Amino acid sequence: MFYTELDKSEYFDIVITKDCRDFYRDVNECKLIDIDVTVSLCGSQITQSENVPLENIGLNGYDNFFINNGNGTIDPDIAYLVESGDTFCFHEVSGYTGNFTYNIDKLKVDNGVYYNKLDGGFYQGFYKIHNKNVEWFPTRARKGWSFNSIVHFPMTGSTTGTTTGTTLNQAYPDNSGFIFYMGTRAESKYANQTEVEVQKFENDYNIIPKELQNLYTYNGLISLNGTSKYIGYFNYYNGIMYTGRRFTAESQKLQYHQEYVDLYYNAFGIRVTNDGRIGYRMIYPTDVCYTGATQEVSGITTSSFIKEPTSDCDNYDTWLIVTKYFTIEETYTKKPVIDVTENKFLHISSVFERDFAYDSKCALKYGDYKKGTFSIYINGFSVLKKYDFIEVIPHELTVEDNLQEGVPFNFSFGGGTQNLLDALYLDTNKKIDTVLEKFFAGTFTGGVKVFQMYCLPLYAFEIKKMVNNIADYYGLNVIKGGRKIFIKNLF
Amino acid sequence: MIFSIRQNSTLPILKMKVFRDGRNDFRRFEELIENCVATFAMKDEKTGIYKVANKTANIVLENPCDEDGRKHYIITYQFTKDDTDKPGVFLGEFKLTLFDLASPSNVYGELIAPIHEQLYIHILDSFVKTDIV
Repeated sequence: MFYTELDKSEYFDIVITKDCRDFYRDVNECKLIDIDVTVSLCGSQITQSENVPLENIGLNGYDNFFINNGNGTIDPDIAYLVESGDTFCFHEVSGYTGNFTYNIDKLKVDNGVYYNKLDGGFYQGFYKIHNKNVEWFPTRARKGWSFNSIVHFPMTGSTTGTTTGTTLNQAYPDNSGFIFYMGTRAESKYANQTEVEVQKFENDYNIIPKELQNLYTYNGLISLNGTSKYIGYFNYYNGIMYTGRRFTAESQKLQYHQEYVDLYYNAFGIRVTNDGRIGYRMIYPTDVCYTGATQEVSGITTSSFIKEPTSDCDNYDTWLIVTKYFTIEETYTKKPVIDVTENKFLHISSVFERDFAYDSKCALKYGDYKKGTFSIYINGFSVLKKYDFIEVIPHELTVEDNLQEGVPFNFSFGGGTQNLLDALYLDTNKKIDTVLEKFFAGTFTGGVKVFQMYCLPLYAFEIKKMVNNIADYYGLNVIKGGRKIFIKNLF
Repeated sequence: MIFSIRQNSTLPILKMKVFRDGRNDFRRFEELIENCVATFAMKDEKTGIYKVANKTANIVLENPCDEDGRKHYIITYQFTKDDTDKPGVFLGEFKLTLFDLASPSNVYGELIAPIHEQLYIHILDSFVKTDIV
């Protein structure tokens, strides 16, 4: 006995509705950042309400050229004042060492529209200072966020036109193509302080070393000689951590062992590959229930990614690097969706929509549900949709506030982040094993124009409407109605 | 289904609610309708002459401010004065061209709606004449 049944799985129809609403919501009040980099590098809806001095900006500000070091001299007394009325601003990234070049060819013109061609350079800026009254974009929005951009193609791949000197892309060819980055721009270089640094903090920056604090660790973040975890009392002596309740000749030096918590949910970038696929790369903690093989952090590179099995129904491929502490995920469209050799502007959007909205500030701060849908749209067309996407939650670093001014809570446009690759070290002998630059130090090799951040997830139809409104100005290919619908060479 | 509008008017907007069979994969449905181009056509019932020839229609969310519910969609078309300058009975159809998310330049399929019922558009005679100057 068997029977058949009509399959209505893809069936839908339409009926007249007399609903009198206009089916419209005003999203402009949530467009918190809106910058045309050919006009200005600043622009946010929220303006700074009071003067806030960043007295220790010199400790990190030289690393990405937020503080211009001019002829290479360091001014320990330099400070930066976030003034009342200030808005979010980008600045052109460079570095302290002079080992890299970051060229930007400004005010190029295509069909009468200006854009800035990136020849190794990119833009970066902080949108929040931890524990200070500076915030132009929330670290976590109720329901999600959206990023809109106008970028210009072609891409020149890992090379950067006529630029001379080493670019980030030449140092890390598998990182080229980042158009957007969100999170910490660098790992903490002061998590473990050397004697030289402690001395300079005190003499040059008036930062008094911690002394005689008697602390107990039980969370495993302090390690003995950088190897085994240390659980017990420790104390600060001359600003350095030692075992025991107080410093004695028998005390052993301890290391702050952060287990990469600074990177968890705190590094996310959208990238266009050289063959025209688009997707993202991000870092989150490895699932505590994960029982599979892991890779050693010290040995991982962009060649370490292992492809995950995906369903034929998925429109993306995912690769993972799983270490004991964190997982680096990269996901791209299965097929190339952008002809990266064509001369054109593209509207690229990405939207994160949490599965449900948080209603209170407390829930936003402590709510641990982090799943949602991540989408990428090109010219208003959805090209990637990832369900069960793990939310990016930018956060502060596990180091004192005055040692991280301007480091976490950054946006980049036209690039990822270079981490400590071009950084100033107060102790030139200091060596830090870092991760971020291996996976995010790279730049987009096309042009950039408009950067917008919304504190809500835009719907596809809202993005389409925005794109249609600007399509003629930028020459964007969009599908319109008519007897013939042209779908060739959309992107 | 009958939609009525007066001669030479642009309102009310023709709004069509999209409804689905209860068992379909809502994610798949959302992917398809997000990458969809809607056009509207209207022709005279008697003469068969097109009055609106495949003009762009809009798709919007029924409840754009509802953050936690499942998404519902409305297809709208706003008539122009040229569309409604002749009274009579017309037939209306929407054509939805659905594009595949995995390969956005490829057409997944084309759907002409409404399916179950004919959409009649009655353009009723009007004697009011005003010009905006």
